[in-house]
Amino acid sequence: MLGHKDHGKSTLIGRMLIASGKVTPDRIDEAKRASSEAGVEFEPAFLLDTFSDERELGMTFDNTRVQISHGDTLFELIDVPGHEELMKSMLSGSSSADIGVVVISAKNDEGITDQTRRHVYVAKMFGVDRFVVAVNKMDLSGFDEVKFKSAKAEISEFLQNIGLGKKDFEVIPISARGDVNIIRRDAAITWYSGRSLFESLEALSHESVNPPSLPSDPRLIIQSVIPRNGATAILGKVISGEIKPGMKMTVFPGSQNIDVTEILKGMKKAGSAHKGESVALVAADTVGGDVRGSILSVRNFTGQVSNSIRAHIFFVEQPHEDLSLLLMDVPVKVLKVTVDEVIDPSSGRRRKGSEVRPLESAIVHITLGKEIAFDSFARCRELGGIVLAHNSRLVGSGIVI
Amino acid sequence: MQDDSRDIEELVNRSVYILREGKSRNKKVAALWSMGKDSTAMLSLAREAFLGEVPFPVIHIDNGIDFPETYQFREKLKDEWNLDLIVAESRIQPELSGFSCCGSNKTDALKKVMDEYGFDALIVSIRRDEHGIRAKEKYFSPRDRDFKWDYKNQPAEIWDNYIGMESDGGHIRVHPLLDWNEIDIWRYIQMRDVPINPLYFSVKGYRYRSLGCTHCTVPIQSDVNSVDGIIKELKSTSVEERAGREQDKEKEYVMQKLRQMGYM
Repeated sequence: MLGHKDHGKSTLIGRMLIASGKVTPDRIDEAKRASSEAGVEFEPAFLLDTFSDERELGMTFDNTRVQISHGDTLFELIDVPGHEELMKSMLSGSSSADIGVVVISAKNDEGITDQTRRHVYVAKMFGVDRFVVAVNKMDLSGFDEVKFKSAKAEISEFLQNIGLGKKDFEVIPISARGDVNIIRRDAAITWYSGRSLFESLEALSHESVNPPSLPSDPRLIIQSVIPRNGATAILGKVISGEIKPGMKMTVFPGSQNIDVTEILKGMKKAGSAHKGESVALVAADTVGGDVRGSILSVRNFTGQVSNSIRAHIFFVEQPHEDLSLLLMDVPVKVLKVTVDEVIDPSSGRRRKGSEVRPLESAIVHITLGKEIAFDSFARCRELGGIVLAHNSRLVGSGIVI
Repeated sequence: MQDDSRDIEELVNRSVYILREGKSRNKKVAALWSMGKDSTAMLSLAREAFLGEVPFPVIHIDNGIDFPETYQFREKLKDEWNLDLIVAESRIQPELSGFSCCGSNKTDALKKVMDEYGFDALIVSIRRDEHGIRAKEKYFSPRDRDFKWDYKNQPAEIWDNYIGMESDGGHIRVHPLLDWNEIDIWRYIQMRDVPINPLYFSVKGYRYRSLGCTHCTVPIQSDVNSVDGIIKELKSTSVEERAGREQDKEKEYVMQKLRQMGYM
């Protein structure tokens, strides 16, 4: 759920929660009571903004996650704060989303803002490839068709400029507080004949617009290694391909060879392991050195092993002298960040230059103190999404290109 | 009405990953075990994550007024799963109830045991769907020395990277079950045949849906006495899971205060 503060993200989620029947009467009563105590009409956002200072300030802190279901589809909605200073939370929310719902206020003097565009730009960069744009507060603008059409034209242009196709997004007029066009098309908007918000979400959730070309070589991210009856168990998550007992594998970076003798899923032996599975690989070999964060793959690993990475990074802070790239919680020293091109996500404008400011993104060259295994984000999200930190504080995050 | 369409194995894979991260990222990890369904399912997941062993001590905060069935269940599973059990005794104050009781008893006893053993991480089996406040929780969440939760400045969780986890002399809460719903827990218990506290099954027309201590938990009317029956019941009920828990009754603010004070 993306968009500028106060354009109605939390109110919309609250409304969707009520509409989907996922929230019990007790919770609604509590939010109603809190609304009247605060002296406002019923505020669906209070179903999410449950902290007293959120309710008093009328803003959301950090991410809230809730589920709704519609038809056969179960959605998890991730609310993100609209405030500029809370972009860290916005990055966290975007990195686990498939669809972006962009909330824009149709109210006079609100409309599409820098922050609206910044959210959309960053979400797209983080892998969100489908968007529903909800032009909200239509009731406050008298359901004015002209106003809707101009907002639609403006956001459509921006979305296309940043690389989305016409089929990758849909623009819908709604009123979250007035419950208009949320579940089904509403007669209040006579000139609109398109889909409701739920209808659009459901349709988008069933189409995979841009199926990625995934690597087929087996890959496992190593979390830890523990001894087991004279052998070794490698604990980790499979991120691509298929691993089978008897397979000869290699730890990257480096060239340590591992013979997989057995695969354990939970306490049971398995004949194979696939993408998404957390498994234990039993190996006759001992595994030397600290391999946490390393990749177990095969000799012809199709990713890269290097100390030089080209990436597109969004910076929440000015890049520091003392930066590290995080592999799990293992910091890898960054020797140099060279900026090739700076992009202002609030406009999409690009400029040449070597200085990048907070809330800007940049195409950069990162030189590390040692080699790591990685891949482009487009091919392998698990090896292509990177995080830069200074003393374990987030400085920037982005994708390997 | 709860949805039973989620892929339980996908949830298992995620939780196993979080449990392994929790163990690797911290020096001395412990888990809270109330003998309820969630923390028992979590221990079963830990056995799946670590080759059949629960590789950390489990803490029961015992105020002496849990149900007899709960104590029996604790001893049985402790032997069966070879658990390293720490019983942290908390003193019940008869004049307190609900908010003040949970706040002072459970939290104080927990602080004491964390200090005594020097744990730097605590696995807690909360779920996001339990309570509005818990919808803001993260998989890894620092708590300060006084167990306070700074929910306005939480670590970033970007893809599988968790950034900003200093706990300032406090500890890290690890939440492997955050993504699970109540019905998912029961479906997992069904699929893996996880041993379960008998209080969840009906006796004389009543059963417990959420377990606290004898003072603050009330049973619901139900004839269900099997895991299959519980799943069926959840698919049709519109009552909140924790409706029988006294401390939740007052307001969302109460839960917020409890959590800021370090309540689970």
